[in-house]
Amino acid sequence: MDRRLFVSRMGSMAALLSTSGLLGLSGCSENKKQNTSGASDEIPTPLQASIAHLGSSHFAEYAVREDALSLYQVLLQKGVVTDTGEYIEASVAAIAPTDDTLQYREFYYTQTEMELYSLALLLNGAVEVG
Amino acid sequence: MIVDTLNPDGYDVVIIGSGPAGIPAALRLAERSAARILIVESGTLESNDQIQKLSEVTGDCDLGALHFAFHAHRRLGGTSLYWGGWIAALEKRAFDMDEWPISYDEIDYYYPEAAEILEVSHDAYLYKEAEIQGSPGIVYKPFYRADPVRFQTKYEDVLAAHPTVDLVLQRTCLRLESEGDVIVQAILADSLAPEAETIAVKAKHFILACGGIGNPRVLQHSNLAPNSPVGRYLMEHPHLHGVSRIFLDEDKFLSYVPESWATHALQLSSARCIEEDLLSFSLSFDLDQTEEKPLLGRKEGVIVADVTIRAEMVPQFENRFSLGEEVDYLGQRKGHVDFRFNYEDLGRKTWQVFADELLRSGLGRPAGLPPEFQIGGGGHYIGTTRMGTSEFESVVDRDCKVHSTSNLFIAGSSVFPAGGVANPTYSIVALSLRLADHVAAQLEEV
Repeated sequence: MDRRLFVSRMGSMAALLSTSGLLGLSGCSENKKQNTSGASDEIPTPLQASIAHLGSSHFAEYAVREDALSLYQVLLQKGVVTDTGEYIEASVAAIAPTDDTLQYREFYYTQTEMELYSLALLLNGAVEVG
Repeated sequence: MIVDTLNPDGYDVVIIGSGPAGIPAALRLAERSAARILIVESGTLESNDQIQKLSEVTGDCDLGALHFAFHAHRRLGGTSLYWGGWIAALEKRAFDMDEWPISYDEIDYYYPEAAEILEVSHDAYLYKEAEIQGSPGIVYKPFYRADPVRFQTKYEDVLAAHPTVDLVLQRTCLRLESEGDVIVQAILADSLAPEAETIAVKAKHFILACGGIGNPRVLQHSNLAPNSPVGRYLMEHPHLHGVSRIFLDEDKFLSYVPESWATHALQLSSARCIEEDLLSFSLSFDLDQTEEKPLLGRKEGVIVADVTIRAEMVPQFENRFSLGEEVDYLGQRKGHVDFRFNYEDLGRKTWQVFADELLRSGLGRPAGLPPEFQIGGGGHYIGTTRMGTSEFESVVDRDCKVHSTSNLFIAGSSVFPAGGVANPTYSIVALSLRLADHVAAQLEEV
């Protein structure tokens, strides 16, 4: 199946489930274990604010298929975020030369960008799929 | 002087064509030697529909036969009449790959004077390209825009008063006649009086400067260079107008922009092209709109731009100008063009490499190419009397002399063995100056 068709259909499903309240995609519901303990299986609370400016519904079709905790763990491992909720702004550019790239909604992104923007969206807003 | 009657003693140099190749060569020769020079122009001081019919071709070609006729203009000044003022130096890629038998420096040497002739800011040769920090794969290589110089406007009075350069109008060169490897005379017909007797004009040296279609046409009508690929490897510049979009980091990009006015363009670096076995590739765009968008993890002011791709195509043996079966009103076989871009696969592959480079460098974000796109041309006819070292694989040598002759030279983009991306007028003028210096030196040796 074409990936864009796949995410498009997942997005539509997410919108439906979100509207019905069954999926409950919101800034908080994905982060069931939010606390400041710093464990990698918990998303540190400050991270939500650290990357809030990067969240956009533009990335909803991609974000809807992702799990916030998994994204956080990947980005932690890449050094893009810290276990205390900091965002290392220069890291995405540093990774870019060897990062995978993909095409999303017409434009090219690095893999790490998509992970970061999706996490920002999942942590900060409802995933509204137009 | 503008003459009706030619010098009965002949000339030292006869130049066929009065466009951006012919006039700079003539005036340079006049500066550098005591040569008596004749410029032969098929057209007159005004555009003439009847005479323009002599440029008509038949064709099996992308862009249509009319495209190849339209840009071969018969009038004093030639194609300068339609020149859009675009200036860019050739890329080094093809020179680094030894596709030219001369070094880049040998044409670069003449770019400053060519810039003067074309009345463009000297930035055009001082600031040819800039490396993008953090990405060796992309360079900023703009197109400069001059107010287009119309060679008739600029040079009509100069030529009319010139003591050693004669200009004859309304004379079409039907063929060159030779004895052994020496061209002895050009046979000229009155462009508007086909019934009139032809004239033979003798010279020590002859220069064809009648364009990428006109130059091979004269050779073919003259049965010259039979072992060489005359008319073959016809190239144009693929143009993909508004084919995609990019975002550019505004602050980062503007740090590369020169002060003088330019059409902004990014290219794959020559090194990257060589590494990936690609040809030259340029994206041009205007700085129309800015927004804030995420770019490699930062929310940045970005320039949002539609892009036009100008690219280099592969020289293909099958793309050619030849003599067709139809006959024009002067009794000569008309030209026939076979031409296909065959550019789509190379274009997509090159775009992918460029897109990766643009994104990874942090300079910007590209969109993809659409599933289908139209390829246009630039009105640039290139490669039909290509430069090279072998008589069997090229038509002219490194001095633009036709291999099988001792005194026939060719000026213009027909000698380019590689098309590059750059609009050819700037390089045509530069190479014409170089050719003139060579012929002047030869005249001095005699």
